[in-house]
Order: sequence, then structure tokens, then C-alpha cells
Amino acid sequence: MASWQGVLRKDLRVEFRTRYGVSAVIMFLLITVAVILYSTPGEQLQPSILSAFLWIALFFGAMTGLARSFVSEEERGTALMLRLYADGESVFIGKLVYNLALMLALAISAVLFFQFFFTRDFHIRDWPAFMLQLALGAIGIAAVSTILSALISRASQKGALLPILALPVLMPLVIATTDATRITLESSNAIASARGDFLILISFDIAMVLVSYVLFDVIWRD
Amino acid sequence: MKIFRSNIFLWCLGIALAVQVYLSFETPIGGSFGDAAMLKMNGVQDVTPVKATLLSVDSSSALFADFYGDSGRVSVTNGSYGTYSSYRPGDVLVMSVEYQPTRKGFDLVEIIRVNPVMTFPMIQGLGELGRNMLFHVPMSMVAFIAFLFGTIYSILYLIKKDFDYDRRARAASAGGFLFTALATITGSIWARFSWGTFWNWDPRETSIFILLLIYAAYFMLRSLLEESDDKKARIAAVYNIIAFVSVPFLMFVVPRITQSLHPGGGGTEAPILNLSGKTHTAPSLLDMYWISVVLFLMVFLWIKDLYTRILRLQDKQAEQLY
Amino acid sequence: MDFLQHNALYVVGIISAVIWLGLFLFMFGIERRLRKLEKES
Repeated sequence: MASWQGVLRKDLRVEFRTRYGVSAVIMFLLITVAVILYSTPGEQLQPSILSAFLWIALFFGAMTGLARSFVSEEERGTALMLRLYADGESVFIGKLVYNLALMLALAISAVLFFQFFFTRDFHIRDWPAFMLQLALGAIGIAAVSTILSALISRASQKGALLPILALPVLMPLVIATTDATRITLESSNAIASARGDFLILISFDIAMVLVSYVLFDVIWRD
Repeated sequence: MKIFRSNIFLWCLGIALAVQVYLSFETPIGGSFGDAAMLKMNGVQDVTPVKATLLSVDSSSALFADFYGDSGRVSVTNGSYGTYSSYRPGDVLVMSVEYQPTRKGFDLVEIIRVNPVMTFPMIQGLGELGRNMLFHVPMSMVAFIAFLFGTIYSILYLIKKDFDYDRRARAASAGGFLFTALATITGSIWARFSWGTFWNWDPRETSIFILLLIYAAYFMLRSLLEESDDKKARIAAVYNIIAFVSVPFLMFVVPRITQSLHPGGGGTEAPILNLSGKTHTAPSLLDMYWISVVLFLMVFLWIKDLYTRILRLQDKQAEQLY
Repeated sequence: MDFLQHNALYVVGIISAVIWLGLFLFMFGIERRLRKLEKES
């Protein structure tokens, strides 16, 4: 039986060969930033608008990239193999860690793009708090899209369903991170003023990771 | 549930609902002299209902003591409604009065009720609109309980693999969706008359909208699945449980942290469910509130029962066909 | 018109009572038909 590190290593190797996930996500980010820049030439963008843009880009970028984690297994016909070689627990943890890594890469490249293209308006005043809420948001999105991607791969409809199922469920998290991002852009002591948002993020992440960990086996086994 | 097979129980429920509607609209609202004076001075409302005990009667005016022990002299002006001749000291009157700042006294506009069995408190800024608290708020509470039922049935399905739990989970979520929609409609109408627009994306309005989206996605998922029965039921159950994780966040956490027009938003304490365990609602309204919750819960359970039985019959029919 | 304006509260009350009554009778009808079907099958 393969351990979760084995599943993670396999996914990273596949990703390194095709570079499908990363390139799709980077393209998505570039197009989003280009549309924003095209539609707001020379305008001053408020922190509230920038944080909303950032999380819209991150959410839909995650949906294009992370939706594939289980659907691609079913498409290539490797799901059965994976089921034979690894137990549910290691598949879930491996996929979750892989999705989290992809999500963090996506988040960091999105922040770099925003820093580069919105030089004038995108000033992060509280870096530790900003990175913390980014990581917490990434964990929540990765957990929900891992379990829902597994769920969709088991249903006959493929990837297109994921954003519809995931967006409403992730909405409390997206609301909280958008608010936390806005606060880190506005004030230099964001942890104190965004305390409620951080509490929502932490409790949502813990609840989602635990629930999806428990439920994964139910979907995975036949 | 067996109890819904009894006609007597169902008629009792219907009569109780009729009594609930009757009491919600018939019970007079009575505030205090302080409310009446303040609302007039702030220019919010000229005529305000006041509940007070008659102390003594003069030729054209009467001395009253209100709920809080404040006394006020209310005079009967020309052409207004009635006199005090038929009432005795000790009678409790609910009357609409107009504060006269120059005289620091009150004019009687109308006597609404004498010795009422029950009165509702005057909620600042709501007045008669406050009665919706007995419909809108219980509906959203029952919606939450319904989603909780749906999730528990989904968990039970995953444990026991009995298709009846899958049907019940679906029926309970459908009932919850219905009550969420009812809470949205009643709230929207309330918002029109309290805040001026049907919909203004208040945090609670946003979160109830997302709640509707979550369960719309759940029903969409159910209708799109074309797998064998157990797999379909398992997938639906898993999505239902995951969806319920964000329900408490949407209903209890997010609207309490952000600034909101709803009570309980932005760090203020919510009137009924809050962390300190105290309620900030007068007893008569609170009693009626819990009665409404119980009655609406009964209606929900009945809807759930009916829908479960319909699904059961459908499945039976499908079995007979193949 | 004047009556409606002065007794708006009662109009709202009557409308909600009528809605509840309609819903109740509708559900009672379903209940009766279901009982018949359940007995048949």
C-alpha cells in the first residue's frame, strides 16, 4: 500500500510532466488581471474592490486547477489503480496536500501579479496578517475542492459542476478572507481589527478539513 | 411520523395556527409615556400607543401610570374619541396619545383597548411592523432546524444504509428550503416598510441568499445524478453534510460580526439567541415567539412527513414498473 | 379605500390567515390522497 507521500509524489510528478494545472491557473490569473486593467484604466482602486478581485481570481483559478484532481483520474482510467494501491486515507491526505500546494502557488503568484500590475493601489500594510489569511483561505478552498472534486468524479457529470457546488459552501470563507484582505490593505495592525474574520477562517478550516477527512472514505470506496 | 395520521391532531394544529395569526395581529401594542415623548421629540412618530393604568379622573383629563411607573396626564381634546367617564381607577387602558411639548402633557387620540389580556411591547423604530417578528424570525429558525434534521438523516443514511433516511433527508432539506424562502419573502416585505427597499444586500440578506443557493445546488446535484441508487444517495448525503458545515457560519457567525441593519449585527447583542444567554425581548412577545416556533416546526414536520411518503410511493411505483 | 387605510393591520392579518388556510387545506388534501394511495398499494 502506498502512503500519502506516495500519492503526493505521483501527483507532483504528473503535474511536472504535463504542467497542465499550473499553466491553466497562470493563464486564468493573467486573463483576469488583464480584464481588470483593461476596464479600469488610470482609476484608483479601493482596497475593498482589490480584495474582491483577488479572491474572485483565486476562487475561480482554484476551481479550474483543483477540479481536475479526481476527475483526471477517472478520465485517464487510473482511479481504479489508485484505489488498489492506496487506502482512502492516504489518497485523501495526498490529494489534499497536493491541492494545498497548488493553491498556495496560485495564491502567491496571484499576489505577485497584483503587486506587479497594481503597483500604485495594492499596498499590503500588514504582511504577517496578510500571509496568514491567505494561507487560511487556501486551506479552506483546498479542503472543500478536494472532497467535492472526489464527489463529482463519482457522479457522471464532470468538472463543470464544481464551482456551482463549491461556491455557496465556500461563501462564508470567501466573505471572511475578502474582508481580512481589505483590512490588511488598510491598516498596519490587521490581526486586532480583523479578529472576527480570523476566527471564522480558523473554525471553518478546522471544521471542513475534519468533515471532509471523515466523509472521504464514503465517496471513495465502491 | 404516526402523529400526522391523526385527523384530530391536524385539526388542532390548524386551529392553533389560526389562533397564532389572530393573536399576532389582534394583540395591541402598548409602549410607555417615555417612548411617546421621545418619538415625538425626535420627529419619528406623532401618535404612539401607550399602555397605562388609570389613577384618577378630572373633568377633561386623567392621570395615568405606565408600565415603568412613569405617570402622565392625558387630556381629552375637543372632537377626539370618548371620555373617561366609564372607566374606574385601576383599569388598564391601551390608548394612542400625542405628546404636547409645550404643555409637557399628552392628548388622547383614541382608546384602543380596555384591560387587555396581553400586550406586545413597543419596539423602537418598528411600531406595528414589529409583529412580523412572530412570522419572519420563527420561519428562519425553523429553516435552520429543518436543515439540521436533513443533515442528521444524511448521517443516519451513511451509517444504516436505509433508503428511507435518504428520502427523509431530501424531504427535510426541501422543507428547510421552503421555510428559508418564506423567511426571505417575509423579511423582504418587512425591509420594504422598515428600511425602504425590498433588498439592499444587508449581511443577513446576503447570507440567506447564499443559503438558498447551497440547497438549490443540493437539489440540482440530486437531479443530475444518474448513478445506481446507493451511490446517488451516498453522494447526496455527503454533499448535504458538507453544505451544513457552512450553514451555522452563514446564519449565526457572519451576520453577527459584520455591520448589519438586523439586530445582533456588528458586535451588538442579538435579541433572542446570544452568547450571554439573556433575552432582550419582553415576555409577552417572547412567549408568542416560542409558540410560533413550535407551531411552524409542527408544520415543517408535517410537510416533511408528506414529502417522505410521496417519495416512498414513487419509489414503490418505480420498483413495480421494473 | 379609507377603510383599507385605517385598518391596514387587519387587512394584512386577514391575508396571512387566508394564505395559511389555503396552505393548510392544500396539505390536508394531499394527506387524504396519500392515505388512500397507501391503502391501495
